[in-house]
Amino acid sequence: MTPPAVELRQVSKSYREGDVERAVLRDVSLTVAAGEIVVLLGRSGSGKSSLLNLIAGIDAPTSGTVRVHGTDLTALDEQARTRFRRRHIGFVFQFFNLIPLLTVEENVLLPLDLNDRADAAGVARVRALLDRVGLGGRGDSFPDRLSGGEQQRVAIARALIHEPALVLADEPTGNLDAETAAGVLDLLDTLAREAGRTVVMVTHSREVIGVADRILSIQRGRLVERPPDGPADPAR
Amino acid sequence: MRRRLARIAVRQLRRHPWSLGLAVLGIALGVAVAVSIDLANSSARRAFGLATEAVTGRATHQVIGGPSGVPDEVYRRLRVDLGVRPAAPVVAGDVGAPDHPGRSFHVLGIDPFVDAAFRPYLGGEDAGQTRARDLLSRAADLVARPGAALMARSTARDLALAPGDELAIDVAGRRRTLTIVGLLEPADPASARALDGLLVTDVATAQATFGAAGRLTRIDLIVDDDARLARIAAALPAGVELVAAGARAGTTAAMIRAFQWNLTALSLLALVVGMFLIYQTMTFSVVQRRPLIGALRALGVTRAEVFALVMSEALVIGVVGTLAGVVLGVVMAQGLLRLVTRTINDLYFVLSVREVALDAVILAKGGVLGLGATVLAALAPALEATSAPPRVVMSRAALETRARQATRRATWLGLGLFLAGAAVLAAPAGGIVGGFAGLFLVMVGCAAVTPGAALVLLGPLHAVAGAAFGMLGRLATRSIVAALSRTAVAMAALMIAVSAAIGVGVMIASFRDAVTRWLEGTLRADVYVAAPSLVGNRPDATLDPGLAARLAATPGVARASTSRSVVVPGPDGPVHVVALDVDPARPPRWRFLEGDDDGIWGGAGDLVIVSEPFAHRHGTRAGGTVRLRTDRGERDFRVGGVFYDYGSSAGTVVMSRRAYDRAWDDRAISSLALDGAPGVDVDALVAALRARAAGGPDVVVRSNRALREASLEIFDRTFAITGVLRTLTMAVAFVGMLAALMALQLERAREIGVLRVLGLTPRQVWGLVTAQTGIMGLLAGLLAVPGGLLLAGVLVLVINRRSFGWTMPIDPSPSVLLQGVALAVLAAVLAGLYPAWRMATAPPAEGLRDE
Repeated sequence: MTPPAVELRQVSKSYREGDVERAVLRDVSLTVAAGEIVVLLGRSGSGKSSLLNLIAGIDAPTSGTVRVHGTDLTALDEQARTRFRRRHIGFVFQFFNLIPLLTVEENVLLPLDLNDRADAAGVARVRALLDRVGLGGRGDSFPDRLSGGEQQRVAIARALIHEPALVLADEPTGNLDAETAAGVLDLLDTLAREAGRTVVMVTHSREVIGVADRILSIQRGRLVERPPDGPADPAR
Repeated sequence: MRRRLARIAVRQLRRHPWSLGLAVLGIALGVAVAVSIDLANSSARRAFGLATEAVTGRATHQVIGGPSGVPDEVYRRLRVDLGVRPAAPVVAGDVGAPDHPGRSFHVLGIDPFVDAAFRPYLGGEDAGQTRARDLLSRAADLVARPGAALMARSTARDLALAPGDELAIDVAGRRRTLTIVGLLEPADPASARALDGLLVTDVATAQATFGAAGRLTRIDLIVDDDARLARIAAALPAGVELVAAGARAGTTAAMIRAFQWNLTALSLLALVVGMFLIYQTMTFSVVQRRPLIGALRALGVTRAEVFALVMSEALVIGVVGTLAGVVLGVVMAQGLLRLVTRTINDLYFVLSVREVALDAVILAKGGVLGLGATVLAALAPALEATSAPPRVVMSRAALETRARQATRRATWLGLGLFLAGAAVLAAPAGGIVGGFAGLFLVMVGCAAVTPGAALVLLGPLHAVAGAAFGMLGRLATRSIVAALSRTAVAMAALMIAVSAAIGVGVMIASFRDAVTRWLEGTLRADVYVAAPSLVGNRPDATLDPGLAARLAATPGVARASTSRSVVVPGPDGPVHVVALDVDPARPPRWRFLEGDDDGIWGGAGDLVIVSEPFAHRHGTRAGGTVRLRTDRGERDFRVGGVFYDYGSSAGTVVMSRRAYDRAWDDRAISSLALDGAPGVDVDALVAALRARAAGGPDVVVRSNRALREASLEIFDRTFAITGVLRTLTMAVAFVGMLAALMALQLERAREIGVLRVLGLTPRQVWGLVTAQTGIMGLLAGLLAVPGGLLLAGVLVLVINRRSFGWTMPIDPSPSVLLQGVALAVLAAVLAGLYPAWRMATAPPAEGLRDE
């Protein structure tokens, strides 16, 4: 039987602020099936990004287990978690976070390079994917020459190029105007579904809800599941 | 400044403690090096001045003679026949203290009844009656008891001696004993320092001590009437002359000053590197806060207030760093003083300094230097901050574009500074100061050209790094260019420090090579015998003639030749003359700058050769003449040639013993050179000679090899202090590199965070940062090679020639250059270790947190 794409069991995360322990997530459990697109809602500071970081293995939970495609990330050391992330996870950020020192093509090629797959075939795939995201002629440009929407399309290409099983997106449209945001979202939705990728997206914007298979929200550190046609975000 | 703004400054400094700490450390080290060298130099100079003053006293003129001094009949004639008063006879010389290793004394033999006018600390014209009575009885003691001596109470306390105790002294290898009959009580600390190391005796005791019966070292006079001076000069016999007091000391002082100038210049280099550090810290602080400054301007804060904000932060760093530097400088001065004094003793003058004289002026100068450097370095960033328009936040990319434009301007400026430096160096009247000013311009020019040159070099390096390490390699080189405003300053500072290391290294290597060759040409006998000497490189003592003859007759000795080394008066001050008893069939193999030694060793005619420093100092050429005061009156000697010589920066005149004997009555010898018969083992011969000399006065018997090693040891000792200064300058550059990398680490947190999320392992991050720092070090090192060679060229061809009068071929040994490049890479990589570790281990979420 195929394991779920993401499986969280009684995950808690707290941060120490001086003498005070501040709990961000409390006993969160979640299962995301392979190929599902899940949207995670919540107001600023609710712990959405923290949850995403735990799934990516960027951060470790205070308690509980995090499994991605059957691999228990909490049992891995830093090095192994990084290697796992490099191979199986793609990331899209709110502020694009392209490497300013690399060209557009090099930015997309980077995950392949890290996985030792930046050969001629890899380069060809990068160019094809850049064509798909509408930036075929911009491979040699540096990121600071691109508009916000263009940068985010490069970031989506970078998140998908190494065919990760799981794509994590942290407010992918948070820094774009409504029209550009819709285009970017559409692109992510299309590309992910075509390749059967699992996507976990964190947002507090309504537009994103349209692409979701499931919608979850975080309230006071706990995860609450809501039907897709329910109110957008009771917390707002 | 407004309170809120002041709070911003305080919090900025508090929030970046490492940046603050490194900047303080950098300026402190720079100031400490400058202050410590200044203190050590001035302490040594002051000790020299006091020592000279202590023996010269208030004399305006001195009557001096040739190598064997002034006959005491001259004193009688001056005082009795000509009625010259005040006049005081002096017999002086340096002695060792065998029971107190490391200490030496200047014996000053005087007539206590006439000396008070010259050296009041010995008598004191203002002293009260009781004291005067004491002094009179003490004077009687000195005269009445042979071997009686006075010493300063503080010296006696140091050596645990009391009146009545005996003090063993070593006079050119002979052991003698003086009895301490009284203690001198200096009125103030300055006099105490002057008297430290002085043994005052009666003239007769001094004559007995130095075996100079009937001879005086000099006669001190106080005369301010030119007509009278002319009468005195006319009455003096041949070989004795009247000179202004201090002329002799002046020549030595000038040579010591040249040596100290070199140290001062090197110490200022550390401060210049420290300035880079301040500039870097303040630039970082301004760049990082551009948004904040923009917001403040929008809120109504004026340009002047922003300027004051940045400058006040710099001043806090400057004040703390300077204070720490001055304190550290005083501590370091103690160690450096030992090195400076040792070199002065090795090369110039017997000097005993044990204490750093804390001079308020020097400490204040250190303070001004530190604060001045801080203000100067912070000026550009502070002006940059005021140019931030309200609410407009300049992007990092725009800033770097501006940095690249500034690089072009800096390159042109650097080329201009090169030309200006070359012009200053070429000016013949520049002297040592001009030499260093030119050198400074050239070095600043090098620093200004560094960013542009680094960009050029980065082109091929980028391709190599890309081919070797793929995208990460390219990322490493690009990140240097992208953060040019940061990396360029660190590279320039490192380049300067490594250039100094290479330049001074090449200079020392060339010098050592020249000295080694010179020793090979000069030292050709198998064994050398000399009386022990207090000044390392000057055989001022004489060898007993009977002993010399006995040693020359030792079985196994095939040939013996003697040399006499003396200081004789010349029209421009004292001249070091060496008379060699050389077999004309086996002349020494010296290298000549011009002319040769043809016809000299036969001893016919007044023919001499002069050393390069002598020729440089006196403008003498082959074919010209040298005028010397001989025992037969002034005489011109024809100069056959100018030879390379590194033995004395004062210069030497060399002649045959026969020519010397014709001109002077001195028949003493200073050293003996012996050749072993074929097949004789040199070590066995040395042992046999030592056995023969045993029981008599101490003599130093050394094999050719041992003497050569001893000479090179003095050479290496001379440059020990240079090594210390080089290390300190490197330390400041290292701190600069560390500060730059720490600043970059803070700025690149997000980029590194993203790379970590994309799957870069901590080790790869570490590798990336280390590669970047390594490349920066490599660039600085590669650029330091031409910089260092340029520096070496100026040091050898201009500074050394102007300071010491000698030239030598430059030997840019590849090992020194490679060491320099390796040093740069090592310093950069070491400086990068901690920032790289911080970047590698920082949780990636931290770097992305502020989203």
